Amino acid sequence: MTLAILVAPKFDEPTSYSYEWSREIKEMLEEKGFQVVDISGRAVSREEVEQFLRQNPKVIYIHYNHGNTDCHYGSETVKVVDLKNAVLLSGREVYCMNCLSARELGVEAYKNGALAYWGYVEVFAFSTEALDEFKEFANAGLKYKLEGHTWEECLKLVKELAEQLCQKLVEAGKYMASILLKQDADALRCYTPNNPPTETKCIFRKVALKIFGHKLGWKINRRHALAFITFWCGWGLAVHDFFVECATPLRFPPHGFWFGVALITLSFFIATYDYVKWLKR
Amino acid sequence: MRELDIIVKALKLEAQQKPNERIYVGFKSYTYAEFAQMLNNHKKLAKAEKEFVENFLKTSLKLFKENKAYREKILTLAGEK
Repeated sequence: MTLAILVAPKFDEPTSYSYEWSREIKEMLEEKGFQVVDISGRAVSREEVEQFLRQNPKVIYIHYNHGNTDCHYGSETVKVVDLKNAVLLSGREVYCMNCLSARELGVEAYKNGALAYWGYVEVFAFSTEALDEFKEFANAGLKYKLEGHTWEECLKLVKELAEQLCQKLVEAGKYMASILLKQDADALRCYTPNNPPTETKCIFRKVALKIFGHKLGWKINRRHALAFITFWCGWGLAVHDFFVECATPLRFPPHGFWFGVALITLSFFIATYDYVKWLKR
Repeated sequence: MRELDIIVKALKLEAQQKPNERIYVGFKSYTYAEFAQMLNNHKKLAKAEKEFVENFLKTSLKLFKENKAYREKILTLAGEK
């Protein structure tokens, strides 16, 4: 039987709604033959979630609760998944109904090899006036996925559904709710190997994306770039100094050359550190 | 009247008609009336709230320009039609 991990903590007013919505998700999964590991209905600790994720690699992980750019919450203060343990999301599908997490954590999950990351780049807002519509919108992605669509198709279908729901709310005179729903739909993202993230504020990342494209551009990290730049600066200095030495053979001390050698050595250590870190994953 | 002023006027009237409805934005929640009040004073708000309200106004303006039914209803509610 296929497993699914559902984390839907409940500890304040908004999370009582997200918890309620997650019950439909659980039903849908069970109807499709999934065995759901349900860590829900209370404050949840980081250790519990980490343990279940470690014990069940490659299993779909669903989070319904508060979130932030870099994390998923298990209670008001506890981050159950964040950038430090994002490696636990690699090789699995991640479906979130939380605020902002697609902004950084989703990108990190994509970089770590998550098969899909469904989430929002802005705050997820809803109103009590249209709870059924917000629930339908929040759960629709997984519903379409369980019907057999690809994640890219699911994203398209959910955006279309949001348009219809928005129109329905407008016609019912629920203007605030319609704006909030449209805002949520605009913030929805689904990162997959075929649909990589496209937004970044980092200038260096923008350059990398431009030069190497979205698939490779996201895989380059700061240490790669630093090792690469240091290595070539080192060679530049050493070669330059070699020619200066040729022109004036008895010049002392040959400082430029030694700076070059030092930079090449440093780049070697940075690259090795990065490689060892990658091996430890 | 500017388009945004018309929208805010209409949303304030909607808020008056629905005193029991609430909006949930992350950890925070507001009554419709509280939120409608924020639409006018968003420049004085904290960074996250300001960003949210500005995004909300941007989306409402986009809807106003793109969605005929929404525009008609907002104009009617604001008494501009």
